Amino acid sequence: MNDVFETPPVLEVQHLSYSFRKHRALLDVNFQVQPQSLHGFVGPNGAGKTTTLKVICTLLQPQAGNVRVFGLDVVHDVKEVRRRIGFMPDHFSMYRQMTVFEYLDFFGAAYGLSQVERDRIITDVLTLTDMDGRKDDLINGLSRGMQQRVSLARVLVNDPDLLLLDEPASGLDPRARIELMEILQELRKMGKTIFISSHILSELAELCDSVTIIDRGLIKYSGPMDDLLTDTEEHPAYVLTLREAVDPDPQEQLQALAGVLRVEEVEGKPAWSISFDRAMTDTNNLLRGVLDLGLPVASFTEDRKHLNQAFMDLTERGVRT
Amino acid sequence: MRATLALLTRSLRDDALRLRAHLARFFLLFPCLFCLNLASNFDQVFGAPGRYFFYPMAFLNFALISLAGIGYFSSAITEEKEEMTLGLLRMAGVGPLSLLLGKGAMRLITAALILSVQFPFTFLAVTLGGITQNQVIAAYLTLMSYMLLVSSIALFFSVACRRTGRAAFNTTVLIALLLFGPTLLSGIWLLLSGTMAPNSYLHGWAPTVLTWLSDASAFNRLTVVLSSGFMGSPLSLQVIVHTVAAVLIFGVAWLTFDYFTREQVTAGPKRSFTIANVFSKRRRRIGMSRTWRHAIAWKDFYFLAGGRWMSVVKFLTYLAVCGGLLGISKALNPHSTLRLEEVAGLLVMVSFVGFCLEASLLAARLYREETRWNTLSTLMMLPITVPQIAYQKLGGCLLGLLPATAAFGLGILCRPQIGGELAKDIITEPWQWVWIVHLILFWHVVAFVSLKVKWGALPLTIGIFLVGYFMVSIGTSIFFAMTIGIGGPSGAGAEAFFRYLVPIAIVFAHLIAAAGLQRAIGRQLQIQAANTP
Repeated sequence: MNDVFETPPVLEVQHLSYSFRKHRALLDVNFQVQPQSLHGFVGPNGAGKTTTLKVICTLLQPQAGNVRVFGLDVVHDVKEVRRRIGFMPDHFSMYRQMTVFEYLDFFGAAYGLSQVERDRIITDVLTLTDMDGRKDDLINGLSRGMQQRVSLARVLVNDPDLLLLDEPASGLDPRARIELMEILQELRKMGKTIFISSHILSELAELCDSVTIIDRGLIKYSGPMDDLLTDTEEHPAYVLTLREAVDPDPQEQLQALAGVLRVEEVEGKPAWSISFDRAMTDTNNLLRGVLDLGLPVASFTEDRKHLNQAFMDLTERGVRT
Repeated sequence: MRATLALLTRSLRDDALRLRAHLARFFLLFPCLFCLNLASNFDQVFGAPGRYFFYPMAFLNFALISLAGIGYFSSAITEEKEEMTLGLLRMAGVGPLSLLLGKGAMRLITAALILSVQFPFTFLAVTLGGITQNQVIAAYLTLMSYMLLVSSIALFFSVACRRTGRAAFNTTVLIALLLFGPTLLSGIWLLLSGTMAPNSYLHGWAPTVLTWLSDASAFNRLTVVLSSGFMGSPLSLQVIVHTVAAVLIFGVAWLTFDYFTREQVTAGPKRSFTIANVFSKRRRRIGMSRTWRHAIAWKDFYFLAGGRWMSVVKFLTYLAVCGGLLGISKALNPHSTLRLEEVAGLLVMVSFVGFCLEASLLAARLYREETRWNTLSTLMMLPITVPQIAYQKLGGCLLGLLPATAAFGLGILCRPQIGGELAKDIITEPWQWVWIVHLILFWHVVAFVSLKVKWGALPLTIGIFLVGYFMVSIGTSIFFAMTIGIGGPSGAGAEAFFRYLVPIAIVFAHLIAAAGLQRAIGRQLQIQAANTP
């Protein structure tokens, strides 16, 4: 793991700011994306996700700060940056009067690939996206999920090292969403770096290695996903689950254990979330104390926060005015 | 009724807040001021300043109303269809009549509001003299009834057609028939009547119908109203016919609304000339090649200009049009002999007109199709520069103009002297360069305007040029009136000045403007790609 983090970042955003007239979209945004990682970019509506993505993919020029992709500046090395990235916007930006094959062939040719190369790559990307049986279909006649797959196939035609995906799962049904996530995992295994902006927080939690949370143009968190989901501060929490309910209720006994700050019953099952003061006790002592109470323990696990909770903790309520 | 009022209020509020509408009103003041200037200059030479002020204004309004029908009124309902919001409006309980009144009447009011800026100035014409109040009222009644008819026709096609382009095309054809139909029919009758027996059945009623059609023409009526000594009633056959026809067409649009809008249009570009190959079950485009090295040129050649198959169809159409015109000519003059130079001249003329029309339509769609279907951002992400993208697109469209060029070339081949004369004129006469650069500038403006407006870039550009011509012609008239007064340039120096210096200066001005527009188009493409939602 350390080796990975010693390599230079694929994407480096430093002190990026951007305003639309009087409306501040981004303010001093800083984050990095490591090679071959799947990096989530999360934020409420109007947080500045799409603006950040547009700056990274050279459609907008940063007003302050700088953005480097594979060490290349997005302002001065536009062509080279565009060659090495694949951007999938959140809207259906497609020539829908073309067939799937024509569409991919067009983009292959536009990226300067020979006909032989195009034939090979198109076959590969269609297989990867499971669209090889629909290559002669008009894009206009495809379902939304299939159009999204074609869009992803288009992004892959020039074999980019970094994929920038803006809300790729929006509007997809659960099956199409799961299948898309499977394709993304497959792509990561192939060595691609994926930067994905999404509202589907629960899926990002399982998929991403790292995450950046943005709210109202400000970065609220950027780093490994595990650090976000695990409460590493002074008051960790563990969930104690019993094999069966006991009488009397053990909540008071648990509360009386040394170092315990708070005990909350988990609704619907014989389980309690116990948070404690790390300065006064540790996990081993706490577990020993629980066992000494003679309770029928089924499990004693770290209480990892859900990404939704982390997101709610870090972002502010309401929409930006 | 509440829905109609809601739509009307929203539209009026929108119009009041939109800078473009205020700018349109503001710029329409310029022709007024120019005409006033013209009137004051002509007053010293010809008298009747009020007439010289009002006459051009009335005909400019007539042209602008015709253009509004094509580019503005025809998108009233189709814009809802294309944005797939018509179904939502219907689900919200907005009925066909409310929609037609709310959307159609709103556009009528907006257009009337834009023109209303002239009213205070036009009544000044009466004070200036040379025109009576009766003539001003009659002219405005003529224009208003014509506007009613044009808006109803456009509204009907907006209901009947699925897309704005088709609605605009149909409206154009019908307005052209309204404008030129009576004259054309009169011409044909003049030719036919000579070949018929004097007591034939047609001789009985054809002249009456033609006179009636001529009287019902808004253009003819305007000419009559503005002629010296007009004392007739402001209410005329034309006003009644146009108003009744407008109401009837509106009624037809209302009655057929449900029938034409029963199916929701799929939002997406349409692919033409596609067949399902029954043997391989593959969908193919006739005569379609694999993507070229210049992929964007390939895309625009096949998907914008029509591709190879369409090129063959277009070339055959040019030949068919020439054949048809020659056939009519032969039918009207059975004793005439067909000469090769006539055929060649006709082919050159038809293909040139076709080239200009095709180029104008392609210029209007060149960038608009990318912004309309949100594909510009993907295109701009390609590792090539904006000029490369723009010129590749242009290349694809130019290939689509090959049929017209080939027909033109065929005409020259039939009669090489025509080519020689044309080439000589173009090389030696600088004024010939002016119309060439003028066309080039026109296409640039069309392309730029298409990036700024949602619909009707071509009619709007024609409108801009009309106002431009109008102001230039008045400016030139004023210039000549002034130079006559002070003696002006004369002799060989004057000839050199008007024959060489003036056109060369105009050519340079046009080229500089075109270069500026190219930069502006590039900048606009970048902005729109970044602003794609």
